[in-house]
Amino acid sequence: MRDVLIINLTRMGDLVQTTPVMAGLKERYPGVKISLLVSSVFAEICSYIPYIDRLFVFNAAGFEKMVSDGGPSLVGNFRYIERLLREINETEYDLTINFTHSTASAVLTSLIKTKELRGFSIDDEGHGLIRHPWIRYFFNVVPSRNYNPFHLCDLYIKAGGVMPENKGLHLDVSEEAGEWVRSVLEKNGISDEDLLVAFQLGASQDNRRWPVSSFARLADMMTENLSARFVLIGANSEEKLGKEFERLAKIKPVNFIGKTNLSELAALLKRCNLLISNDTGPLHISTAVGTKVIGIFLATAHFRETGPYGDGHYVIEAAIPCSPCGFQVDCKEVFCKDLITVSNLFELAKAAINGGGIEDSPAWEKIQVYYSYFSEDGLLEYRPLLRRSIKEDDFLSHNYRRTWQWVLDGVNDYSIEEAYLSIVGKIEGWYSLGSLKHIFDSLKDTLAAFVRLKELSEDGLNKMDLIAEEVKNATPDIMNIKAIWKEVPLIDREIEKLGHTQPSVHPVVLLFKYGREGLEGKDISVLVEEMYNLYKDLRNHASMKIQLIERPMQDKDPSHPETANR
Amino acid sequence: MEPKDGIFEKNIDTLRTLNPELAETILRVPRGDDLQILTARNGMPSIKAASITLHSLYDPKEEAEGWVEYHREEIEKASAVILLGFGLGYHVTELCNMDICRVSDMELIVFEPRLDILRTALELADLSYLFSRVRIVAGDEPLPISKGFAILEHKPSVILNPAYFKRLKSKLTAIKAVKYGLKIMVVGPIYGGSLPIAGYCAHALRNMGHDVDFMDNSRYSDTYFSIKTITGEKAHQDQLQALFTAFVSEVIMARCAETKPDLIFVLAQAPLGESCLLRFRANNIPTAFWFVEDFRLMDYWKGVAPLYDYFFTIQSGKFFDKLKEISLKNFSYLPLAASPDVHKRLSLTDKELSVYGSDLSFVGAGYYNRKNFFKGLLDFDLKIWGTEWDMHSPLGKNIQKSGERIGTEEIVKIFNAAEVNINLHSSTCYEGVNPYGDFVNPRTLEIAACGAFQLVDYRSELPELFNIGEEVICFHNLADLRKKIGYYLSHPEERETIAQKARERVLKDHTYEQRMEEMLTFIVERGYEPPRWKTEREDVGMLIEEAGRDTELGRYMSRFSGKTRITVSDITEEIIGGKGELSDIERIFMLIKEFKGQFAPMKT
Repeated sequence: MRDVLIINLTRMGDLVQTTPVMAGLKERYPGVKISLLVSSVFAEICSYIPYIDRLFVFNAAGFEKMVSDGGPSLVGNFRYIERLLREINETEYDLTINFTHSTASAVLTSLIKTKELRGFSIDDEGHGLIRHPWIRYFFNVVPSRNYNPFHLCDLYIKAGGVMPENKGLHLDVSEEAGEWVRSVLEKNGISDEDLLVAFQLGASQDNRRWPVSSFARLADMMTENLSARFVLIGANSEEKLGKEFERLAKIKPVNFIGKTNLSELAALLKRCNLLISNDTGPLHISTAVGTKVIGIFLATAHFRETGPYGDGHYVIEAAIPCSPCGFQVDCKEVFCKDLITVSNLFELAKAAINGGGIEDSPAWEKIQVYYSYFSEDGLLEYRPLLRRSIKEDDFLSHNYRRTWQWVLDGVNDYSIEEAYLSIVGKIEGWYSLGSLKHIFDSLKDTLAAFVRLKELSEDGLNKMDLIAEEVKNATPDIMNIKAIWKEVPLIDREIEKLGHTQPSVHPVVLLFKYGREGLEGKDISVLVEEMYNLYKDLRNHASMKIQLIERPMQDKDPSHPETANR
Repeated sequence: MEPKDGIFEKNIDTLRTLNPELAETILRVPRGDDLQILTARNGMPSIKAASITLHSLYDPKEEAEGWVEYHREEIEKASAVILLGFGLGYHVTELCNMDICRVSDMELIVFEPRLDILRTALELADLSYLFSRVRIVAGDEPLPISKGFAILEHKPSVILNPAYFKRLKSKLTAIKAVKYGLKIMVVGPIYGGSLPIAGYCAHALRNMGHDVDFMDNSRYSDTYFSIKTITGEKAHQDQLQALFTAFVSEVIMARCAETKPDLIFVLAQAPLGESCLLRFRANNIPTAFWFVEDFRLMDYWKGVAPLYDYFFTIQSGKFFDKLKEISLKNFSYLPLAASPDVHKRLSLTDKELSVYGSDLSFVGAGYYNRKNFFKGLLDFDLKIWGTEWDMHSPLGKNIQKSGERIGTEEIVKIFNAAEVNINLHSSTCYEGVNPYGDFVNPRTLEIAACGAFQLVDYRSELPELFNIGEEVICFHNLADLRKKIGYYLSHPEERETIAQKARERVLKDHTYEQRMEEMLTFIVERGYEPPRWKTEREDVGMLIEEAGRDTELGRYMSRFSGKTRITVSDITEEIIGGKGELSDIERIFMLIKEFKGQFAPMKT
């Protein structure tokens, strides 16, 4: 592998989160050259990302302007893209990965000269198609937010087919910027020895923003009890929030809002001892420069996907049934904001600064705090710090973490027993003891659903076998093939129905469903082969799940009637 | 190279017979100081003006042949050619020698501002045979030309006179756009007689190739009428209706901001308030209004006419005087028409004939004069269709469907089914025929378009539309009508002949397509300029030039040369509609489309 192109036209945070897969590629293929294609809007951060050998910037600003305003004409735009492509295609890539989930990026990807392609692209007729199982999982299953145990960075790593030794996010900080930060802080009477805490008051959406008044009271409390000093960080657009903070807080922070470029921001965060932030880009910059983070995840923000990626960070969220909101939800009563109190945050900040845990009390009743670390599978995991009774969903999430890796990585020699023991270990360590039995009853329904799913996928496999048999004949009976093929949609409908009625099997069904839809319009011979693989994956996944769910039940009662003789 | 004896005289004599004005002007023009006649290698004359060589110094004829070859496809597709620059006429000669120009009567027009060069050309070679084929224009007023014309440039001439040709080209582009490339918003009323007309206009403009956004405000009619059920107080009704109309007006504004039309064409009774029209004007968005009403009955024209850029009427005469009195400038007579796609001959089933057929038939509302006049026809087999009739009057048993509103489709069946269609123009004061009636109602043209027979009351503007006695038969009073009914009921062949002629006349002269063409021609003559929307639409010709005609991209873009202006969506729609493997060019356009969507500035 000599040349890899990564396409990521999304946000700044997403670009920083691409660094682990780049690190992994560099380790796995020494000497590999990594090219990155980004949008000009977010290009600044790339100057500080290591591992980039070639940077291609798509100038989005050129497209904002209309011809009547002196912008480029259609032909001008065409020539611009043509030039950019020529430049990109000067290298023929061994691998191109498109991590962007937009039609634009898919079309662009289809114009790249590459030996292997992963991610979203279009075929010769213009139909969208997603290559690579992990990216299919990322685009199709993660949005349903069901049981996804994987961080975005880890999905990228898996799509890159690597496992970096050098874990976490990576960002270079210039000495110059560090000097600038030190001098500004010094002018404000902050020395290297002071406990320095940064607040990021903003968020991409108002719903995801912990109230400024709460931040202000927290600052006062931390100053009083921990002698902390404060800096405010953020973009120009967040100046208002900074002003509000200054009005409400007794203490006087150093307000850096709108005053730093990304390099200076990184240097500033590096100097800080702690960042308390909503789900934002700077949260990732902070983890990348090794500064501890407390992420406040509200409304639609979901830490499992985009929380702080690295060892030893914290996440706080409301432990309520609606959290996180579904992507389509426009919540009008964001009470998760109010559930997380100033004293919760203060306790957590104290734990983060001094080490040590949190003492559970009624004050934490509807809250959960997670601690990030790299698990034995090399991927990031969030451990709950407050021991609560286990729910079926928790157990299934742990299961899914194992089975998705087996299915999507194509692992054949997996060990149910090893996985089970590891899961049980976590359950015993993380949740209230003895609680697994509480969920047996609801697990029975889930088990039955997976059993049914397995039967249906076997039905599907049988049909594919029958068609393959017929095709092998010297003179295949087309009518017979058609008759068999006609029954396939009935099976698929049953599978989909099962996904809707049993949320626990929904993620598996989703991947199947999108895979099935992606085959539309394909030639029958290709179709049969691909369908065969889809049914096979479905059956294997169902079978893994059945074994993992049955396992604890066998502990309880070896002659369990529903599981005997299978 | 010296002028040859007698050639100039021969040229001028021929030109004088065809275009005396131009011939005289040329005779008076002095030789330009910057002109230099040269001899090409092959012995033919060339010319240099202001250090620009207008023709090849090797072989001007071969160069002209190449020029024609280069433009062949474009010329063969065009219905007329406008050539910018005459030079010494080599390329004009080659153009005339093309098969298509020899066998067809395709219009060829050459614009040449430098008469001294033209004079030199006439001195150097016998071009007399060209003048009967080519029209030479020295000014810059574009002539009325057929749609689908191609604009070809003699590049050196264009470079020599950049300002002149730039002005000319922009005028020609505007004409081309008006002919078949405008984005037009058609605004109809909430209800009433002008509602179907709005639909016919929109349909016709679409047929002509314009991009039409029809604001069919009849979608609000239920709400509008429900106001009357809310309160019986007239003042309150008026207030609510005014508020509602203002709301619909805002809806139209919002839609206009969304679709960015080149022209807003409004039908009488459309719910567009004054403030809305003033805002259109402030933003230089051209507006035209078709007042398809009787100005004597509906006097709201006084208020609205000055708010529109172009005002069209169905009456001339006295109305024109009144419009002049209020100092209105851009107004024109535009009589009503028919829509042959809707108003057509039908073969009806026996059942339909028994339902819709009768000796005499009338479709329309029960106006004062009709309620009175039709009583005089009670001894005939008469069916009356329409609203606002009194079921308890002597005509009650003749009223069909209890006086319900009749839809267009049924109306067409009724016209087709009747032996004789009676057409009496409405009046609110006369007992029968209005002796001073001027404009012609839509029914007259619609019945004619159906190939149906009608007896229509005489109108002073009717002779402009039909040959009376040949294409339509008029009546002047009840006695006259009764006599004619008697005659024509017993002479079906004559009815058929007259109806057929009327239909032919409508198809030839009175379709909404023709009216819309007249309307657009008028506005262009009165200086129409498309509004300067912040638009993504770009001139196809310019894009092709920018890409380079002979590049892969230029050749690809040339498939859109039928359109005047395009956006990237026009291209991608064609790509998506197409079949087969996507080319890189197509993919790049898809990409531009997606990126534009992604990064387009937020609408304000």
